Amino acid sequence: MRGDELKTVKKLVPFICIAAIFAVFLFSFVKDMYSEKTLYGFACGSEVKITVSGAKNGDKIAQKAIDEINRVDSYVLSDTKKTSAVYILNEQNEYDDRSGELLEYIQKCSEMVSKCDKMTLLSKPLTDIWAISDGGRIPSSAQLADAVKAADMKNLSVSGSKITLSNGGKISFGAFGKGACCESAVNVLKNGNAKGAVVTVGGTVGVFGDSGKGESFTVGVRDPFKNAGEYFATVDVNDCYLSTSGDYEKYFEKDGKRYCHIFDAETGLPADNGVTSVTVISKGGTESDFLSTAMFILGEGGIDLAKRENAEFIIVKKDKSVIISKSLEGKFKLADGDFSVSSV
Amino acid sequence: MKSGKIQKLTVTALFTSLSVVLSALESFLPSFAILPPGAKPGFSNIIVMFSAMSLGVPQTLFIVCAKAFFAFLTRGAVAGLMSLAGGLLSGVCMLITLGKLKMTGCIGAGVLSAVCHNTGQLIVSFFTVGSSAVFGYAPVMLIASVATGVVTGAILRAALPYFKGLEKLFSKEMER
Amino acid sequence: MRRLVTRADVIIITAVILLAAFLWVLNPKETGETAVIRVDGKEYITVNINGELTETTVNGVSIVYGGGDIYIKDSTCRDKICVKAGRLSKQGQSAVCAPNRVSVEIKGKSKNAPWAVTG
Repeated sequence: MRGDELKTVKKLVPFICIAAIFAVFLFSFVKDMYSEKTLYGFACGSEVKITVSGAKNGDKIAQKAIDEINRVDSYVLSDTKKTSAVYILNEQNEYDDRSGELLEYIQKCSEMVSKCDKMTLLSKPLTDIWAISDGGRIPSSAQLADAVKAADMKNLSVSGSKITLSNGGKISFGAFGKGACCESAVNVLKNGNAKGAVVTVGGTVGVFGDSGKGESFTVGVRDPFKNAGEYFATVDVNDCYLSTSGDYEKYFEKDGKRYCHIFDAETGLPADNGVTSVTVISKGGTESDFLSTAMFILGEGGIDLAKRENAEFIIVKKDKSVIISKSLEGKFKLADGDFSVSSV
Repeated sequence: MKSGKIQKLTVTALFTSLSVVLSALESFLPSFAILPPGAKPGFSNIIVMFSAMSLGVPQTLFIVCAKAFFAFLTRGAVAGLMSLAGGLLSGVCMLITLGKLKMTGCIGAGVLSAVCHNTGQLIVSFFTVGSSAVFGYAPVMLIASVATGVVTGAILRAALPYFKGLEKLFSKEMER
Repeated sequence: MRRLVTRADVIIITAVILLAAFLWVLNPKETGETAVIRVDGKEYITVNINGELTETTVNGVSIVYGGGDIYIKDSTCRDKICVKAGRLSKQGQSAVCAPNRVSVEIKGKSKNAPWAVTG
């Protein structure tokens, strides 16, 4: 009887081993196929999050994309890092951009700025006098007038590879940098053969490809009245960029009034028109970043601009009413019943 | 009353107390280093398995319920409920596999019994804790069940010769 | 006499192990009860936010967790956006101190959670 049992066990040992090995292989394969790799970093003054799906070496590609964001931020666009071209240009009022990378960004952004009178690429004089990141202070009207003059786009000139600043004008890519970095990271991921990815650089999210869960990616829209990471609605999108500009994170309050970090280039004052956040969805990251900022300044008046640029938008007003573009109907889902939605 | 019936009643009572004692003793044991927290060897499952094999349906269910009642008295309502759910699930499973189908050996029965017992407990803790987090514990629980099931199954197999005398009492129900 | 091991037993054990492996692959190991603290994008520590009140300082950011939530109490940065983020207790909530490159996020990903949040 005992020998009989031993025989049965012996017979079954190879079967168990093969089954176990098969199981391990199968599951590691399945896991790799469906697992997303998520990497984090810091650039453009905010957190960067990259999730790559459907790629076996997703973490390596994601790291490359983070490195690229760091490079663009640290060596080209940052106005606080001493290594960047913009920092040197702001310090010396002159910069010979032989690589042409900064020039390309300046041209692209200048062209966008020309579509909105209340926007400028030379916004640094304004952010400097309001000093939001230092706790904030209200400037005198003389200071304000000087800053508005300095922020005029006329103070930026380009001839050949030479960029020149005059009359105290200083470049800041605050309204473009995150979108631009997001775009360059997405390009790195696409070139690295990632099947799908989600790139978050501060308020800008870029998505493309296969999410592994259907045709589109569900992206949350931050609830301006709640903590970071909480959303009041979601949109189902793909192959596009989403940027949000709002007054709920970078601001200071004085005498019961909120002063946010986005300024009207014509008046030098913080945008204040009943809007608390604007999300723009468009085909380019730099563009969505620019449009969300411009629309935040323009308020509901910015709807025309968005329509001209074929961008979709979600405007959240301080009274919790929400305006979305018609084309978002069906893709936009409210997660919080407190908000009332209308579309135009 | 026939003597066979009285004998059966006596054995059931004996086994009920044995399973209660085993589960009580188990709770006094220091937690096993190799097992994840909360996992127990489940020695009282041995009694339930034997009961399912040779005593019969009402007897097995009685043992399970008595054990749950003991847990309810000593460790509170939640523990009682968990013991009842786990015990009933594994008891019914044993009655089917050991009592009816008779295809499994001792080790397989031990593993099945442990898996059912732990699944029942997990379901109860899902409803009482109200968090789906408990299901994250399921894979660990399954592997632990295999380990403890093999041990209890082996013990059952080792103990069977000593139960032989008892089995003879109910020889009509025993073919093997 | 009953046998110790039969063919059915091996199938049962294999099935249970396969099921365990399958559940392990499917199950996200994170739940709403833990928070991850990252420094420079790399995971620094994962903490249980339901435990005792504990304070820890990373890169000039002092973080308090326990009793059901986690929050950044103070930071050496100038804008204090991270402190304004307040108490975090729900999945997905986060506080980021960009100047000090520290972030805190409540772990866990429920099935219908979005891929990212813009804003």
